[in-house]
Amino acid sequence: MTTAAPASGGAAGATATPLVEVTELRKVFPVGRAKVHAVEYVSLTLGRGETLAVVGESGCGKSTLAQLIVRLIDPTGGRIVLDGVDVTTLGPRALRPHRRKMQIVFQDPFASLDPRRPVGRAVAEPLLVHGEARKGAELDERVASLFTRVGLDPDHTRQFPHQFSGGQRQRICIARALALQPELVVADEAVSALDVSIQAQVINLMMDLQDELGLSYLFISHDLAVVERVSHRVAVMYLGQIVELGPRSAVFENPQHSYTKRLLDAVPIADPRLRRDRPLLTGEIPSPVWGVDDEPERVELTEVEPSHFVAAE
Amino acid sequence: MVDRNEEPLLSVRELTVTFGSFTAVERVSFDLFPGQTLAVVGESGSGKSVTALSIMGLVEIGSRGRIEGGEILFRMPDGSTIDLASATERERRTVRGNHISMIFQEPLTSLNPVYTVGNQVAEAVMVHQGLGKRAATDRALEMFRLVRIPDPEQRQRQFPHEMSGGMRQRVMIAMALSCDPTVLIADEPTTALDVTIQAQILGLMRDLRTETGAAVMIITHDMGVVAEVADDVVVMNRAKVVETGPVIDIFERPAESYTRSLLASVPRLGSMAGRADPARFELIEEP
Repeated sequence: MTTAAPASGGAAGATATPLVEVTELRKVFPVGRAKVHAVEYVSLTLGRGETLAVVGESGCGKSTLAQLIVRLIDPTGGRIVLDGVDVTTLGPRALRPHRRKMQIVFQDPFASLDPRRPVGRAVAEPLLVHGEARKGAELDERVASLFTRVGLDPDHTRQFPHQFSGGQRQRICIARALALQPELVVADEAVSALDVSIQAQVINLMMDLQDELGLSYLFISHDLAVVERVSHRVAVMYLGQIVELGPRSAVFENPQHSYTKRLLDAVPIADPRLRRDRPLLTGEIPSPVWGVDDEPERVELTEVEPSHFVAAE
Repeated sequence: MVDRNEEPLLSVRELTVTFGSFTAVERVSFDLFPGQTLAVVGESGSGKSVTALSIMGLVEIGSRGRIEGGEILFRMPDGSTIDLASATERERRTVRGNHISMIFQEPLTSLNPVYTVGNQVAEAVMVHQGLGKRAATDRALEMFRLVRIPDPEQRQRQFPHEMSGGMRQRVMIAMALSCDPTVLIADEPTTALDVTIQAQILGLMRDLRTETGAAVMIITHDMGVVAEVADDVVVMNRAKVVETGPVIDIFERPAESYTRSLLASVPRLGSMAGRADPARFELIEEP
């Protein structure tokens, strides 16, 4: 039996065609004489104006999934449909007009910016590469307006990355991602390296931008408290597979899979009155490395309530 | 469990630490009592780690840090008191690792990649307690059992890269506790760990406090961790102590606006119950 791609059920996109439709996506990395099944038969959809969070622990495949969807790496199998177009196997040239619709923001804004280039040029680059603007007053104006949009001073475009704080650098990366007016922004642990007060500001900014521009976010994160705050729908990944997928309130308030429950149970809650005397858990996530002839067992998702899918255990 | 009638084990008074012209810690004061878990919380650059390194006597080694003023009074197990701020390196060395020990955020960089973990814990015991090789190895095995490393006989023969992050942090805790310190300083001990492993390590630290009686000073940026483990909290911002108090008071009746704005930006799991759509943080502007 093959599992159908679970339909979008969030606040947005329930009726319209989804912006992103991923079907049975796989990525297997060879490692020496073994292999890592980083992403295994992942199917999901992302509606327009919707935030889908992908949560899981180190090595669950969430970042690989992000990179597959924006076509930074090639999938081993499966299909990625962006805005009605199958982009799974498009070459660099054919992909270019579609690339502008999808942008990615990474965890470490310092590593994502060239230390020797003024930050304004980093934001201008996608516009130049895609022939949207030429160097001159018009380009400067567009860069300045992007700076304003993300809450930065437009007079600071000539400064260098080291002259900004971590939160400001992440705003620069967001400005760069927005330059081509994308429809999809993949945020791969985009707020994880920020101090909480800065993290809250950047999250609020991302929500404002979603409202103003109708952006769809694929929000990759290990932080369940942040995910609860930002997402319409949530996918829980474990060893390369989605084990639970559904509206945020369903997954957080009525978790079904044992791994989801375990994950939620482990989150420290910022309220000393809710301190729990937890039994000492032991056990760790098994290795995603498989022998050449071994295959992980494929999990089947079933719909336990409307739009809420859970893997069989 | 905290005994406040006793003298504090550690009393930091008006501590000031500078790096060149930059003041990293400014007139910081707090006490640590026997059996207490004290959380020092703050954002990047607040001075919380420099405070910990000053207590360990590590701030003036290999960096331009200087303790400009103040006292770090530590009560030795024999009842005498030593001021670690003005002590000589030789005096500090008798305290560091023996009576006060420390674990760090990233266990992989704290462990030597070319020695087995059992060897490294045994070495710490030999250096600090003057035990012979055989006795030290036995002690290391005992410590591995204390920190609930499964299969300790096998595990002690492993190299750091053969272990997971959570197991490595258990090894670090085993090493830190191997000399029966009265104070354990933990600088972001779970920040690099996955959430399910973090829960295991926090639970272990809570149990070990009961079993060993060591006072714990935990340095963290995570208010969730503070709420889980701390008896008392020191809130730091821009080199200074903003507020000190019992954990319930800090969370429910924060006196200072900085503490309030910090708490307002912390996402709390469960706070979105009953709502379908995402919600912005209601941020409090700092004056």
